[in-house]
Amino acid sequence: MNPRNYWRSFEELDQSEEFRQFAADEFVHRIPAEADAASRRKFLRLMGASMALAGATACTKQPKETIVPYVRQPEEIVPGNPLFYATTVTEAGLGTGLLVESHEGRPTKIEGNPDHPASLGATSPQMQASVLNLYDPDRSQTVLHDGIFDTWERFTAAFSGARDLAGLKKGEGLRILTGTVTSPTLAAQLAEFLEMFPQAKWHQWDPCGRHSDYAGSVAAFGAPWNTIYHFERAARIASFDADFLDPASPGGLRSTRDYTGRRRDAAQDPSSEFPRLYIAESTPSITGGMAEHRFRMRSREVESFADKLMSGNGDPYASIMKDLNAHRGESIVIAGEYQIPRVHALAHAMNQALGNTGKTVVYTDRVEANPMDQTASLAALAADMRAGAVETLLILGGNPVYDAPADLDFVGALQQVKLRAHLGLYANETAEWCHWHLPEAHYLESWSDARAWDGTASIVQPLIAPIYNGKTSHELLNLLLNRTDLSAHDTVRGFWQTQNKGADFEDFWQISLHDGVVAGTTFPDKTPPAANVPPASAAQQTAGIEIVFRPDPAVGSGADSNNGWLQELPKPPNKMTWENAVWISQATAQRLAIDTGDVVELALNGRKLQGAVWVQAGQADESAAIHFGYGRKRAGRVANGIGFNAYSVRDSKALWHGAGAEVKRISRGYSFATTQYTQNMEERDPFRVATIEEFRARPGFAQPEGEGVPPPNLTMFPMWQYPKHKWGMSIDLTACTGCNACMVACQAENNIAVVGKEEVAKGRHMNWIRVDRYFSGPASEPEMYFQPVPCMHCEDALCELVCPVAATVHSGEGLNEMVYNRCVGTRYCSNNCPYKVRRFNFLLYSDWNTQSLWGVRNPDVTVRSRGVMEKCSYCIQRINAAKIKAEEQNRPVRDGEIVTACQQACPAEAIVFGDLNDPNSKVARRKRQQRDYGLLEELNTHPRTTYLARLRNPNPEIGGA
Amino acid sequence: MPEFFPRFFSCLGVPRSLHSSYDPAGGLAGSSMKVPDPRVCIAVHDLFFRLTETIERQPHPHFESASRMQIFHRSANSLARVSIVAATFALTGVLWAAYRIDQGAFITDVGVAKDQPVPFSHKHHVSDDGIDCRYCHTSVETSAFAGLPPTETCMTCHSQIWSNAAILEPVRDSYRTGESLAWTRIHDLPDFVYFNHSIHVNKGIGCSTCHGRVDQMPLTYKVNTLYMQWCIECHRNPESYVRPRDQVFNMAYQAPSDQAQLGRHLVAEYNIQSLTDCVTCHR
Repeated sequence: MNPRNYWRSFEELDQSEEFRQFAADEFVHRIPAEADAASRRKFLRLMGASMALAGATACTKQPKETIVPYVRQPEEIVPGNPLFYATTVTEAGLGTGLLVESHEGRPTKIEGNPDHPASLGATSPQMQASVLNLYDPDRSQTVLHDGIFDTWERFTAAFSGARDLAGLKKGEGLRILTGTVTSPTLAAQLAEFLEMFPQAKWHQWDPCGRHSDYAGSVAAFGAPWNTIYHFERAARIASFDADFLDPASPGGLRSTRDYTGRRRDAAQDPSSEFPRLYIAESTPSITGGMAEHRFRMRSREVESFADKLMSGNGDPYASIMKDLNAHRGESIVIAGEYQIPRVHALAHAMNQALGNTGKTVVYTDRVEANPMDQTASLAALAADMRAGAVETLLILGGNPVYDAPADLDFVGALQQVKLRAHLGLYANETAEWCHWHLPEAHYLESWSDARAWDGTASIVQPLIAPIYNGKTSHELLNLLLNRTDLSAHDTVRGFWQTQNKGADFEDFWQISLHDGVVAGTTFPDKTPPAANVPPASAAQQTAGIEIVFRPDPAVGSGADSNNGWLQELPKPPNKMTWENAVWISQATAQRLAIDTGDVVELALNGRKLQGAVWVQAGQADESAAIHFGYGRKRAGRVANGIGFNAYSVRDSKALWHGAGAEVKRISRGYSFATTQYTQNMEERDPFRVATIEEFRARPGFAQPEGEGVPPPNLTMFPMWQYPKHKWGMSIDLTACTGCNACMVACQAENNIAVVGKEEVAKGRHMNWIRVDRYFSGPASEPEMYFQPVPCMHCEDALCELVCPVAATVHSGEGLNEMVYNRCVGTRYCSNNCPYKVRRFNFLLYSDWNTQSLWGVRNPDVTVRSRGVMEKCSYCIQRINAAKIKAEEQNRPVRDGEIVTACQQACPAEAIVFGDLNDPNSKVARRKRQQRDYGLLEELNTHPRTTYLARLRNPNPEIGGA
Repeated sequence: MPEFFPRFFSCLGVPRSLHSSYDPAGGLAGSSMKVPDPRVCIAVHDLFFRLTETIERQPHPHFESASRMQIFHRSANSLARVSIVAATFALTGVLWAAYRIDQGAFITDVGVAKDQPVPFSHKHHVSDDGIDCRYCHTSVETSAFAGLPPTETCMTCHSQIWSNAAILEPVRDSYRTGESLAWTRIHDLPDFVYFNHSIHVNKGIGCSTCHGRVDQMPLTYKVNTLYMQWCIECHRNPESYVRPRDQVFNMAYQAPSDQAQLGRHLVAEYNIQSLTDCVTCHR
């Protein structure tokens, strides 16, 4: 085994006494009793009184239940069997195809559409969680007029008057503000609107849209172009702050599939070149974690990095350039959204120079309708509003009052508008400042359409009628176009009727709906002109700390903040939940004499905010990263009042990083709720990694050897036989990027409860699969690794031995079963589990009272109550369903027929599940690879979940790799 | 019986604290209990004294000093013995009663017909009219849930026959308003149990095996407890219950005398597995 030191925090790296104590606890016990709502004393006091009642309630009869059949049963519905419908979710305007599971008309689970190019079956954490927003009890439920309940009819009456008035002036003073629009139907409607009202204007603003990407292509080519990267064809990748593996980035799911697919193939096939990734970035991203060489620098220094790389002189630039040149036409230079347009132009020029254009990097037309510089567009709107030139403003979705750059003073300007109307999923901060607020239909309730990052169009098909009579943008546009009787469905269908060139529209329409993609709509590749690199920007201010703005890894830009699944999702680099923080490097923290948990005041361009500091390994020195999505005031009960609003110091002239900030401490002692520092497996070697050369020289590097390693199958008893099925899982760490999609997918599939920040801080988070993050190397330049850990389903499971009531036992197929109705909650099993994958319902975490949330539950999985242990079941409901189907058809279960929720969501195809008794199954073949190893195998637990060790391909010419 | 205990205890010697309120004329002060006949007291007292005499005559030398300053009345020994015997009987009785209640109709609802929006008679529809189970329970062969007929299914016939019957007003009302009928569940498994109709039906488990002679029920009730013990009985020995697939919907099917042999044959033919893993039903 290669000697590597893994650490998860600076305290662990230093091995302080405080850390040792902390790590020794399974659950965090040093929380003062008074802070605990249900302390032991209080519990005992209450228990005395409730014992008698508890005894009595155990004897009650089952409550009366009713069965409510349909009056007219829809033909396709078979009660008890779910149906799947293709639809499309949009993120910052770009569409991703989905298949959504529906139980008797109730959407419960999001899956990716394997036929859609942006998904290929995968989903992002945000997509998985979007179904929870549908049922959110805090969603906007009624039309509001000046904050008071009103009706849609009265709104249309009021707004029609304003429209007709504006019509007399050819639309002067009438403005529409949307996010990024790729919907062909909406684009056609807007075009028609601008034709009808030539003086009216359409503004766009997406706080985390593709601003630099747009401006960069304009800078390079003089016109906007859309860039598509083919990572499956790239052997060498240089990334300038591009987080292209972020599943929320444009085409991110597809990039992940392509990039990790090549890595997986190359790990097995020596003839295939293992890809190598260089990245220059300021704040640790999951892409940085996958990189062979990560150059840590402030965001604004990436420009000079790119310049030096282009010149190819000096160390390490010469080595990188040499490497890229050796792979001409097989490499990618990619600039990230967080970089200035000039860096994008440099990347375009380098791709052309390296002969990548047309091979690994292709160009198409922009997929957005009416692409524009959105920052300028929003600034123009704000200026016009302030000048009194805007009489009527219609805001279609979005939340500019919350997320507009602070220097535009959007709220102040907005108040100069005579009639303001807002369409939104939530009555948010913007709704507060608008005369009218209209509840928007969730995408699972809407008819619409969207284009993917490569132009592929797909239809947004509703799975449920609008729960709160929400409206879509199409209906609002129809109101402006004086076609109030036209529904969103008819609008979208009508648009595609004009687009259909084939013979039969009905066939075309049904096929498009069924497949989830409109055939033949992918944009064709085009060749752009030679890229022009603008002159270097003037010498920038370098004093002070740089502030780096990023969408939050979990809640994104903040539009869907009110989502417990996302709030409780640990941020990949630090496993923090429920809030944002000011991430600074260790060196900077030492210089400023501040530490994790200090609350600082951060001043940038005269604007200030307060936030708690997190000292983050891998963060650039003299740089502080802050994330959007928090500091919400009117998001809902989940997100209100947590974290700070990073938009409040964002400047429209420097969207992604601002220089010259001051940081000063104002108090100490703030505590975060993180997940990986509790429940650990210390002093062991959970993660195994080797370079590709080491692997080729010693393929068995991942196998344990030396002292203390038991021979395989060491047991006094004969090994148990599993004659029928033998379920197992393999997780490829070479592919896993740590994006967390598996965690939310598991939560959605298995009805896992959200516990809240206080409970997370006590180590009581409930996720059945967690993604551990390890650092390796020095504290200043760490490598970052991710490892998903579900239940190992040990063949010799330690948990089973200690359960006094046999609530956790082994099945004949080798599953470690957890029987909720037997569990009495001793927690012995959790105590004895070396992997710490068992989760206990200390309190009644599942929300049994909020009726709207009942809809999201998977009817095939028990909703657990208080006092019950739970853990990963390998998605037993899916195993049973597939087995029953196969038995009824009198055939064996096919390989690949059972897909666990985590496996299905994974964009990297890192997780494979199947029958180990079938030697040709995908999982059996994976486990025969030499990289296969089991976690804590030395305990002789015989885990069914095993890992394929991580491989890296560092450049031998670059030191310190 | 209620009078037995005070009498019994008084004859064993009433504690001193009670002696003060002992009224020889009328019984315990403030109570309506009758004082037992002193002769009965003495007789019972003597009986117990004799029973215990042999042991107590020879005090162990170690306890000699203790026996001289005896705290409890001698009768306490008898009392202790009787209590032990009585408690054993009482506990057994309580357990027996609890078991009977648990297995009885009060808890299990076996044999109890419940209120329904319409007093639907399976007997009439199945036996008299000859309607197949699957005409209404359409998804029994394909889904976990057997399916309950939509109002529309009722109305296929009842728009023509009995179309004015007052008893069917809820059905017509449902059809008119679009409001579903809410039937009371008869076979109600706990929420942590996942039963699948289709696999049982496809493997040759007949309707009547679990649901009994529904075709003879004017009002529907369940005939089995649906307790896990009952499920497991078949899951352990499917050969005792399996029948040929073409007999699954035959309500009058009787197991043949050679069920043991037929069962073994069918279990092999249908590839029936004896699934007793917890996760077969619990997840």
